[in-house]
Amino acid sequence: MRIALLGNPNTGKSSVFNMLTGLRQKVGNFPGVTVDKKTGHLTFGGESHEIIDFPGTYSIYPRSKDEEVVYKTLRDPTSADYPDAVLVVLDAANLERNLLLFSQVYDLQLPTIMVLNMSDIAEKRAKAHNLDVLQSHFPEATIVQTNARVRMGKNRLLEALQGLKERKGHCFHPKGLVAAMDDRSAQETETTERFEKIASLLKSAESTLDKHAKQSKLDRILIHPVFGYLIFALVLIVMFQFIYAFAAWPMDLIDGAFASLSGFVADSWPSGVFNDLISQGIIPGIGGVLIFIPQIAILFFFIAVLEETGYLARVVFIMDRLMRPLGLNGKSVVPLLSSVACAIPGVMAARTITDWKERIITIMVAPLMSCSARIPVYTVLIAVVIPNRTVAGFMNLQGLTLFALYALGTISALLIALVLKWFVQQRAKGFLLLEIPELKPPQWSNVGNVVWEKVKIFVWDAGKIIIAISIILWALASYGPSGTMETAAEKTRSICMEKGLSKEETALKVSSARLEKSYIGRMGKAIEPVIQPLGYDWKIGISLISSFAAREVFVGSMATIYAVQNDGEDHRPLIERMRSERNSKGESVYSLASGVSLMVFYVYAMQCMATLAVVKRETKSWKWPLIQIAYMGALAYLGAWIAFNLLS
Amino acid sequence: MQIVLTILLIAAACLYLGWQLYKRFFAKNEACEGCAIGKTTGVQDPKA
Repeated sequence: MRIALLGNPNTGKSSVFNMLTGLRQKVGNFPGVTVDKKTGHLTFGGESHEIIDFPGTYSIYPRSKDEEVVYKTLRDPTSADYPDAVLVVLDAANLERNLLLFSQVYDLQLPTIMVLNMSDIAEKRAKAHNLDVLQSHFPEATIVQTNARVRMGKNRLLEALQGLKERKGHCFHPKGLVAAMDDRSAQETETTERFEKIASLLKSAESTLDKHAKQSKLDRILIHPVFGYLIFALVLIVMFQFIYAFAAWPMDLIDGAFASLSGFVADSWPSGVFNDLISQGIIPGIGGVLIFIPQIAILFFFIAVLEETGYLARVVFIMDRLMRPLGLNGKSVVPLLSSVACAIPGVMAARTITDWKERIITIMVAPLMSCSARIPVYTVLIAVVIPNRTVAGFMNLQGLTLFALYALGTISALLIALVLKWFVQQRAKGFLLLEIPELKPPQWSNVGNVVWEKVKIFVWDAGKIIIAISIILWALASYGPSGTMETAAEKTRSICMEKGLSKEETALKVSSARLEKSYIGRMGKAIEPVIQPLGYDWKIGISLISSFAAREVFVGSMATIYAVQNDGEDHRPLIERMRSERNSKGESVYSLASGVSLMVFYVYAMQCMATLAVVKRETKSWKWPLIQIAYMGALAYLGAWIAFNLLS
Repeated sequence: MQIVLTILLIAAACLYLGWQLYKRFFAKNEACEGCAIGKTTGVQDPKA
């Protein structure tokens, strides 16, 4: 049997899906979490059944791409996803709005189950439902009450699925579902008639014990036109302070452990090319991935808590107010906020935007929001060039810098959207339909799931790419055109002897000369004239090239380059090595000016192959990803140049 | 032996990156195109 799971956005559909399948699909306390259909399996009656979680929709008549999925699947019995039964999840505290979709699905004559979810919140709002009255209006449906967040009601749902009621032609609306997909006028008439009937039904089915329940005082502050923004800024500042306060210690520990491991392998394994690859290429590469687990985990812990409590939906609300004058659709807020975690779900979430022009602007600016892949770059560079001291009595300067980088990305995204507004004409004004969910304590198991999934994705998916690039980098840094590396090494050795340099200094200069003549050194040298105005040397240039595919590769690349440069002899942690790196004039390579310039470069540069691929897929064109690379690259270069020259 | 292992690892890394590049940009994305939402996005004309 194939079961479709439907419902309005933010009714707990994904929680019901997880409860039934035992899967851990992402759930969120704001609309738009599910923009693609997800499938899972559940077993009852000794058989496995497929369950499909569709994107949330308010009506069966679509207004956006994600909502079309539901209409096209349910109206076409020949569709590969056409269900044998439908579970419609309803927010028990908002029956009036939720019953519209249910009544439409019911009139399709499919075996239908009404899942009255979030009954705890309905109780809090002092709402009681007379199920007999509801049942009398939908006699051929089964009604089940659940609270999927705490996994209550699974058995009742399974029983309902096993005893599905046969459809005999009863319709809620006298004419059933009649309007065609493109007949807006007929759809509006039918929808109005349905709402009238639902309103009269609820008069007898629903009793609100306290009809004058006051809006939460807390809520009035959280979405206040002034305090709302101040509180949001404060929440972000606290979040970044926490990242630095709690991540520094485990980060140093991991960094030191991998430096020691690299040294141990180099010293204890038989010497040779494979030893070099492991100790100078792979181990620094793996260290470059694992070092960021603490920051990633803390960031997503905060994001998950804010989302679970319902605060993020309030942020969406206040940001909508801010975005409208800038030409962005209110619905752009969810994709942009999603992009703080990763631009890929952010770009995909733009499917909920009805108008193509508004959607394309959102897709174009979403990668400017600082994603989690930038954290590795930011945190290492901040640790190298920003002093770890307290400002204003209680704030850590490094945490404030991280906040400033996130703010720079966000403000730039909004300003670019304003510019794009003049180039990309909008045909129709979009709107944001958002239900503000109840503020509630976070479900810690969901928070744990989010943190675990994000860390796993980062370590596994990004890790494989980082390690593969580290291996190739090591090979390109260890070999060069025939004889040139040896010639350079000999020449440097003679010069060092003439100058009377120590054995250690000579060894460092010789390995540096070898690296310079390697394949990767030649590539770095080739682009050096272009990046010199930004304050970068050719080694940073190598990392810029290697991190083109994924920006988080930057740190792993630096670790590999410095390991090869020191011929595996220097086992200090990466951050210490970067701090002590000097150019030919004896000046620090990572000065405040070049460090900030590099951070600004990474705020803007479109260095993510996966995002470009998704933009190409979503826009069905090479044009938009190419424009994105060009404008973000130009911004990155200009921004970095300005930062370097201002601070030099 | 060390050289053989090194060459194998470098070759594997190159193949993996090449495959990722192909999969993301050029391969038909069955996970997306085959599902309902992939079909509906195919209806939209980006130039419209």
